[in-house]
Amino acid sequence: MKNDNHIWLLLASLLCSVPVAQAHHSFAMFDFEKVAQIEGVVREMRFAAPHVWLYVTVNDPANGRAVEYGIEGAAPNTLLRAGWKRDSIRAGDRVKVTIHPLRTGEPGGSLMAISVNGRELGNAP
Amino acid sequence: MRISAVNIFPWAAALAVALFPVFVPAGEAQPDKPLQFSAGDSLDDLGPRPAAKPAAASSLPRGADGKPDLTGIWFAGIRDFVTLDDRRIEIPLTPDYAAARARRVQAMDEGKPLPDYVSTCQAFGMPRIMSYGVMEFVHRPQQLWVISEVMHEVRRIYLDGKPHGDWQESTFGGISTGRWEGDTLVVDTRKLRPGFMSMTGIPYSDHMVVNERIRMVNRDAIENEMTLTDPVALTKPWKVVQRYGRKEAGYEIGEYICNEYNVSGGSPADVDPHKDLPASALSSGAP
Repeated sequence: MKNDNHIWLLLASLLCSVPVAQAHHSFAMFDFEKVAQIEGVVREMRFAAPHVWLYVTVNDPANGRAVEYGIEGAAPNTLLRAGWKRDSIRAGDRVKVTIHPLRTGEPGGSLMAISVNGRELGNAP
Repeated sequence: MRISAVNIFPWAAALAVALFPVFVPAGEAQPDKPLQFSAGDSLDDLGPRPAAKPAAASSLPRGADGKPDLTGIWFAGIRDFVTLDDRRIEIPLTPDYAAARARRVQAMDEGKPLPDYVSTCQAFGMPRIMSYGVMEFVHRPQQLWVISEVMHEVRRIYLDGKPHGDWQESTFGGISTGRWEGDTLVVDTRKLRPGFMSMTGIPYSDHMVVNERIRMVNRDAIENEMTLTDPVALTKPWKVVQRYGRKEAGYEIGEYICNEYNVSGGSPADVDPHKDLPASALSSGAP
């Protein structure tokens, strides 16, 4: 990323209260110091326990190649209680997703916020 | 491709984080109403803490046996056993067990957390089940059932004064028997398998005995003073105070089939107490 982005990433991490990493497994594979936003088309939404998974095809602006992101979200029950439905996100939907990226740099992350076809979908409260 | 090459919108990211200041990846969200503890008795604080101040005994709901009725849906606050934050707590581990934990903490810091019984959707076991997310207590004079939403795990606490589990080998949850001392339910749990009682991998052996003193602080709050005794993993008994807040009326437990699509927690075959824990963790000795 460009250097001038660092200040905003810092600001983002300062604004972010300490992540409440209450999951059935450690989320240490994700870098909670970093925030990234991706935009793409949903290939598959797995609305399933223990955590939902969203697979998004993103065109890399650098070379135009398609890259698939695997994004792990909260537990289905947590999202349902926050107002999601099983079909709130469907294959073919255009999504903007804010994530904590994988530490390895591979395309993936943990879900922070998402808009689906231009509409914000509330995350776990 | 590296993630840094992705189109990052710094303003949008900062804004998004501001709009979603607390992210709860899974398990269960924060309680929906303030919890009824006295000032300074936060549900969420960490580490050693004083006992909460109880309400008048006459204000507690009571069952047919006249004892406080613990029935209800509760949210486990305080995350001594659960979060990454437990690194801040001083735990009296013996050197071998401190080393076993350090290996897991290091793996986490490297972004490659090692699997455990919970990440692989097997079981919380004791004492971890008592520290995680939403659970329903069904209290009858003969038994108290603790039903966890996340793993569908049921813990039975026998209250009938009879011996139980003689025929059983060590299990994740062990055998729990309880008795009342006034309005305090005193529970002993034995015959545990060795494992890790937290996400950061606080290890314990099959010698561990868990003693709980469970009491209602008021209608909407329960406090559980847990004393963990483990002659090989701990240098001295370790005391943890766990608290539970009642969920609002109408709150329901949902289905949670952990293995429906567990792609990031690892495989049960990857969890091997012989490999992951000191040999002393198993009474049967080294593998």
